[in-house]
Amino acid sequence: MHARRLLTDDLRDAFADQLDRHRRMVFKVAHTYASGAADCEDLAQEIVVQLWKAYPRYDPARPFSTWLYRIALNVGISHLRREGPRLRQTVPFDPDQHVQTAPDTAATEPARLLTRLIAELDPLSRALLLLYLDERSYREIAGILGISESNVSTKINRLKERLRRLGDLHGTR
Amino acid sequence: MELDDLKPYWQAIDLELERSLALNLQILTETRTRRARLRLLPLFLLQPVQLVIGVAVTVYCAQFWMANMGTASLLVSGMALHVLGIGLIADAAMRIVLITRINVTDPVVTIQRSLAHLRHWEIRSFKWVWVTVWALLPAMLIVVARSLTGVDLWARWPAGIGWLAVGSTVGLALSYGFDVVASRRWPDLYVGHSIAWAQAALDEIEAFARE
Repeated sequence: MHARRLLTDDLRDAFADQLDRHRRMVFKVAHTYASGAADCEDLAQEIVVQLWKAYPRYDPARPFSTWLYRIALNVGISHLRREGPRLRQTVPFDPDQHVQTAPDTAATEPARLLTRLIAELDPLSRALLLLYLDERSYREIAGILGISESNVSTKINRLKERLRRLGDLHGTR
Repeated sequence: MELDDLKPYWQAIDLELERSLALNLQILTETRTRRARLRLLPLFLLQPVQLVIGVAVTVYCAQFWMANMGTASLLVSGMALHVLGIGLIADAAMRIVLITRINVTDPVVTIQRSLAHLRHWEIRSFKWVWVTVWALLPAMLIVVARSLTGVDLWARWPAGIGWLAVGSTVGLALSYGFDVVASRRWPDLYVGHSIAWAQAALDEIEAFARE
């Protein structure tokens, strides 16, 4: 019992250490799939719980970031599908409201355009956009999402086209 | 505006999020993990329970109709419930397969596809159970009455069984009507509960996976 407790403590320390180094990824996923600050914080905590539950099966030979993104994105997508109707009735995701510490950055037109683009996309395309903006390689994106690299490339080009159209529509060049 | 032009803004939002949000690692030892586990518990526990019920119904009804082969009403009722029992077994087995296929560390599209298949199956099987319960109500009554009292209700009270069949048909029609009206009147309540929604989610995932 005591040995098991020690093992759990060690595991928790290792997890906390890894999570501390990668927590921004958790925030970014929560930010992409949540609506409002409270929902974002709730979703981030939900992601942490699911990561912790899966952690005993994590293979250290593989990159932690890929493992984390797979689980976090799945939790985010499931959250959006589950809470979709409720979220539609609340204020849509907006950095102006969501990020209260530095409204200057959040209030810029490109940031608003980014918000509009995220809101328009289906859950899987949001994941693709997030990974692309996070400067992940096409190979890594393909591995996280489970699609081919050429498919990633095609879909990124479509996202670029969509952003241009959105920019034209809202007069942002 | 190009997609790459948004990267600096994404990084800025990222930094701000880090400043404004905090992860509470205390939750790893608290009620939240227990709640998360409990939410999954019915999914895992209900399947073996349904499997046992299905086997019990199948075995009992097989014996029932074999023992009553000379009476058409008892034979047909027993066989109908026998098929229901096999359906319950197949449904539970399918759910177990779909649930065990889900591995949280698989790629996102793989898991989302598995979850969508499971949800699609759950919604469809729930509707089928609903239809079957209404349709087999007279058969259930005949088998139960025979088993408990030895009375053949169809022979003793044919008009009553006939009226029960009419009632079942009306109940089924009303349920279907309510389903159609409610899904149009309160679509948000039906998101996540309609076959059309589940199929749309599956189609969306397949479209994403295709080039």
